[in-house]
Amino acid sequence: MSTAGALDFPAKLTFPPAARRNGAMGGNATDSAGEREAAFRELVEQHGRMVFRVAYRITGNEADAEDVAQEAFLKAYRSFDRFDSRASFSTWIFRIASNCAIDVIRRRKTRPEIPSDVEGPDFPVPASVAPSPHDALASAQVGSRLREALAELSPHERTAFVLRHFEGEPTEEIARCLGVGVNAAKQTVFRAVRKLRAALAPLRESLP
Amino acid sequence: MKPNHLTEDEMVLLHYGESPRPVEDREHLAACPDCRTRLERLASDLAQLDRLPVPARGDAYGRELWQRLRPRLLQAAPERAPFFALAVRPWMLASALAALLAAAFLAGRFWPRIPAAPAAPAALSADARERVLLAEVADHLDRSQIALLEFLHADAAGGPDAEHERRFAEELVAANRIYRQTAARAGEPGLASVLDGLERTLLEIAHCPTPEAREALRRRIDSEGTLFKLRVLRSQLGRREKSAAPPPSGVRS
Repeated sequence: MSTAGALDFPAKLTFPPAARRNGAMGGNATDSAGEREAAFRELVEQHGRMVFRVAYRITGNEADAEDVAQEAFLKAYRSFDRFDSRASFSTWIFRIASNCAIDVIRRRKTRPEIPSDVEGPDFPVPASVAPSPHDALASAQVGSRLREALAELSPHERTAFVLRHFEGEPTEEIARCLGVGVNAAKQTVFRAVRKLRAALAPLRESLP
Repeated sequence: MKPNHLTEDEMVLLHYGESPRPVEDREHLAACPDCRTRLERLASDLAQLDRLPVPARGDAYGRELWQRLRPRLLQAAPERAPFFALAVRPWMLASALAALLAAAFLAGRFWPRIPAAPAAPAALSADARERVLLAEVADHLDRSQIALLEFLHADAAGGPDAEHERRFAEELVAANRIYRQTAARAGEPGLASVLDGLERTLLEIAHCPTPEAREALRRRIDSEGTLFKLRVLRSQLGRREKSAAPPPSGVRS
């Protein structure tokens, strides 16, 4: 992501010039195709989890996030000729994934599925630090309300907020992802924060 | 020091490290307990979101993803965009195709039949055409309701979502025109009338230039009960869809 910068796309992963120009159809088709596949495999393995995580945050749905992850890498592979290898691959795939996720939300026609529960961390909680039943209930209520509130944001608001809050992206990058101006991106984040806080307000007394 | 209290938006920028005047903001916070409390509350609210879990994916996820992806990549040659793709967006093609398909079904369903000529074997029965038609129009109404809801619930000023709203509305206008014309020709005045009203509303959403115009349009959608009419029509179509559904297999009619 933004913290990785251009260095996360080492030169050895850059598709060979012949492959980038000709795909698998150049004079050294076999070599180019093999190199392309090997390079792309490395990129998928390196960035797959990040893409899934972003897709899940935006779509709010595990199956959709899986689809978005595959679709994003597929699009990246198809349009790799347009990728500027001086840029960061993670930023590029991140933009593609964000837009795929927005498309999924719009295609879905309804509000995103709100997962009632997702598996938490797979480790035991010591009894001494386990929440009381009251705290656990309050926490569940807050979580449920926040998931609803996220689902009620518009696709742009949700994407902008996910990029800003969870992924730590600067406003300029959010603007590029959404295809809008910097000020518009900033206002979108503000609007999302206002809506989320408004949803939390009735539960503020019980916040853990 | 910044003389006035920080606004919520300024606090959001400060929280995310993007304040254009971080030194002034910090100085103000140091001297203003009220703003400090508000900033702490903002941070506390936003921290609640960090507690929302994401389904776990292990270290092997990238490899698993690659295994699922590889067969599809082998079929996917690097993209060479055809020249017409520069001018025609995918959604335009998709909606045009959907509308043409639906119009074909509408025509087959509603246009007067010529009884004298022996009918050629049809690819689809009349019942099947009607079911597809109803499903197509119902789908169009569902999408239109979403477009109206998004418009009604968006900020008055528009913002980046307004561009999506406009594109979505434009897409629906193109499809709606074909449904409306076909419904009028087919002697379905009720359907044609609702679609006519819907088309005008969608056109206005697609070309709503100012916040004032958007607000006025919102009020009119409310006062004219446009959404309600759509829901009623959608419900009627749903009933027709059910009555047009084939009997369960094994059941003789």
